[in-house]
Amino acid sequence: MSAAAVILRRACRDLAVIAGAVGTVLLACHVVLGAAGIHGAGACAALFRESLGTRYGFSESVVKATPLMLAGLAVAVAFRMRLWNIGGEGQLYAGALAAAWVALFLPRCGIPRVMLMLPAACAAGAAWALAPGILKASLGVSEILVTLMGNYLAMLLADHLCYGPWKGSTTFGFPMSDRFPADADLPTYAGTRVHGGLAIALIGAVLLWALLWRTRWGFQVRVAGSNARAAEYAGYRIRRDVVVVMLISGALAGLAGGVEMAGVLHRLQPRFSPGYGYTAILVAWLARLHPLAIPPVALFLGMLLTGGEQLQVSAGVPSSLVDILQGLILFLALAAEAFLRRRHGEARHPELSGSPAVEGSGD
Amino acid sequence: MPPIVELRGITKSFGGVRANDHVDLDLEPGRIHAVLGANGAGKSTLMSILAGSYARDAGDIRLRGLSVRFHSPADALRAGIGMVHQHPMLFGGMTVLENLAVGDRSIPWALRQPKLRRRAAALADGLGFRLRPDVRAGDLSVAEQQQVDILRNLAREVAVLILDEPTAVLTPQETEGLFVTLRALAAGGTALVFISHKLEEVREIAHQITVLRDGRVVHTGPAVGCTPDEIVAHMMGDAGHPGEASPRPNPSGEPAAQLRDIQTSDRRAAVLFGVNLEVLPGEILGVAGLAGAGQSALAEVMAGLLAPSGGAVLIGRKDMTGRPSRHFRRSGVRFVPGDRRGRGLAADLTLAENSVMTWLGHPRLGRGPILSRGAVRRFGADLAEAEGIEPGDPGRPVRLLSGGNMQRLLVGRETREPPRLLIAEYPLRGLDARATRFVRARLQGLASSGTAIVLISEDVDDLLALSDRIVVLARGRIVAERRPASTNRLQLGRDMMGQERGG
Repeated sequence: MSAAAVILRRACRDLAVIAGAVGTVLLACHVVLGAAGIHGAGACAALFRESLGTRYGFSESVVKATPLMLAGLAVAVAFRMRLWNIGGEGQLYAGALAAAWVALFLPRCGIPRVMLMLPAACAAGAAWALAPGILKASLGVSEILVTLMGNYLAMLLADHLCYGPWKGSTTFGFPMSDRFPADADLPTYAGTRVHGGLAIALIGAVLLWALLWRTRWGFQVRVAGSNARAAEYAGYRIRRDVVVVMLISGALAGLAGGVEMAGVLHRLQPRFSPGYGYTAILVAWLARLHPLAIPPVALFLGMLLTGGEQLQVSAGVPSSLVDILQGLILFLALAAEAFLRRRHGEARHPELSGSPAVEGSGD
Repeated sequence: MPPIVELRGITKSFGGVRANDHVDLDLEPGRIHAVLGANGAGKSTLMSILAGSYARDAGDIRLRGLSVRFHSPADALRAGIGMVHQHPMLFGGMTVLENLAVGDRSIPWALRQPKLRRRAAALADGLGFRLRPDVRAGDLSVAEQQQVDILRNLAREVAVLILDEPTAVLTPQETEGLFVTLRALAAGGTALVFISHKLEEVREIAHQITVLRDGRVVHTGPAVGCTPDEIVAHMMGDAGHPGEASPRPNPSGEPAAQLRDIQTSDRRAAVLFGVNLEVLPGEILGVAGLAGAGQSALAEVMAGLLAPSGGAVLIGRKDMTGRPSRHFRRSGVRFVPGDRRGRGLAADLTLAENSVMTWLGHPRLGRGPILSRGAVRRFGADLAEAEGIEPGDPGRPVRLLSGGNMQRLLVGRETREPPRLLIAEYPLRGLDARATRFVRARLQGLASSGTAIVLISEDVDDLLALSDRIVVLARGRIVAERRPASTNRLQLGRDMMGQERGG
């Protein structure tokens, strides 16, 4: 069979799988939501119409996708080295706090504040990831636990600041900071809420890809992620690289918090993130930890979030049912992706197949 | 007395290799039957078939005259065949009593512990064990754990008990204690299978001896009147010829590497106790030994991957003790690890990526921090061509290569430029004849060009053919040093099995 025929056959098969997944989603929605007296397939279609079909809906999807992209990149770089940094949420809050501090308290100096907010957000996110990185590299402490606890720490710190010292004087008693000064805003595009953070995220994706796939250092990180014992054998400085990767990861997550402050919210609020740092883990896995695949995947997740919100507003669907709908779509997207990969002859996620097979042993 | 177990024509292959080839074995009640053989002779396979871990390809197992087929170790245990593993398999976090109760369905769960407590105490008394039923198994010494493992089998009233190298983990005193136990069990009518490499022990404890070589029974008979020399001769086959004189010039000059009184204290089983070694430029130093004698620790210490707990490692004249492995590499040390997929290669990455793994600083690969895709690809394609790796597609993941081709990649990569010191751990294992010739020629060529080579192998013939000098490692110590021209397989075999007598 010619190569073209093989490709054509594969394409047909893939399309069939995707069609099957979409059909299953519609059917599942119909059954589940139908039980609640809502036209399921219609709600499903409405979700996508609201998030893709209108200029407003699409721009809102992009707005939600922006922090997901940056946080997704943060997760991906760490997971590439099998560092299970699930502290993206905390690092995001840390970045937001640093950005807010710069915006609120730094006296005016020649350059616009936003130019300082974003580096400060990176630094704070990196600092939040530094302790887990050092503990992992020096003592082998599980980064999962330490980064997870960092999430609560950062969120509660943000609560404290919003209710206490940073509480604004013009917020009618609401627990939030004052609005940042105007020079703390990222530029927006043509009458939408889409902001400069999008460009930063896209550039970040390309840079991260280049770092991992086009540099000697990135190569070492990928070897360490594929087989840590081989990286040790090859003489790489794994401990140092663990810390560096955690710093990069934290900086990207912190940047996500920073652009959310400067681009969207313009003030610090408690619990401003709807779990971007956690959703980013999903984004990273769906993108198979590949930086260039993260923006489209993040956009998909952004659409689900936006469409869900719109559905509540316009169609009056209860939020819990919207959550179910989103879950179903995501679940089947994951299943279809896994199915397609299996079809293409890849047994498992290479990043997941951890234990090296043992070669023949003697008596 | 009629045998309780008769194995007839047991045959088992793994991927075309016959691990057992028409093996017959009889086990009689009240008798201790020693099964001997060199590494890879098929002892473990045979015992795993008897104990229900493997299914046989052909042959028959008869238990009390009836043909049986076990589907799992639990199956075999129910039929009365138990196994005590070299490293006792207990639940470390559970108490001794709980360990005894696991899987025993003969007693309802609620009654199990009190009833077992009485039964185990009675059994332990009979064997002279000091049973501590409420201690966590993980807190016991290895010898005590082994006792628990034995008790666990006895509590199930096994008629046949297999002991896989039970003395390997015991001190001489503990071994004596175990022998008292085994004799008591035999006196009580249990049929015992005893696997060991230590010939003195076998002669002391066994009634019956069976020797396996290359999966076949080469000798079976009573232990009385069987001398250690005869046993070794059965295990090793004919004496073979003395190694051919090396055609290379005699190695000379300052040692390329030295180990001085190296000790390791690793949690893993194999450790070294005071190893002294030196290897000269142009010399192939063979390291012989049974599996687990400390070869891996030796290799990892020399490659800088395992920091010794005592002693010193010198590369050239430089003391490298405790330095990271990249300093060893920088000093010209290269290592072909025995664990190819686990240590030497990143199986998910491509052939090309694996080919540059240990050459990342190479100027051919790109400027400064940049790694050029095309250069990596060419690097891999060149290596594949030079080493005859099939298929040589540099973009293919390494996990899709066969074992032999992985080995070509590994050896080719590490010897791309002649190193100062090459440590080759089982470099010929699993290779076909052509690949074997290829790697052998490579090692000899490197030695001719002045590389010092430490060749670790379990194949005595390879060592005799390639080495200038052979040291024998046994239980973490170097027990002998031989010249291939003036030694033979039998003598090395005796050395490896800890026979003191010279030859």
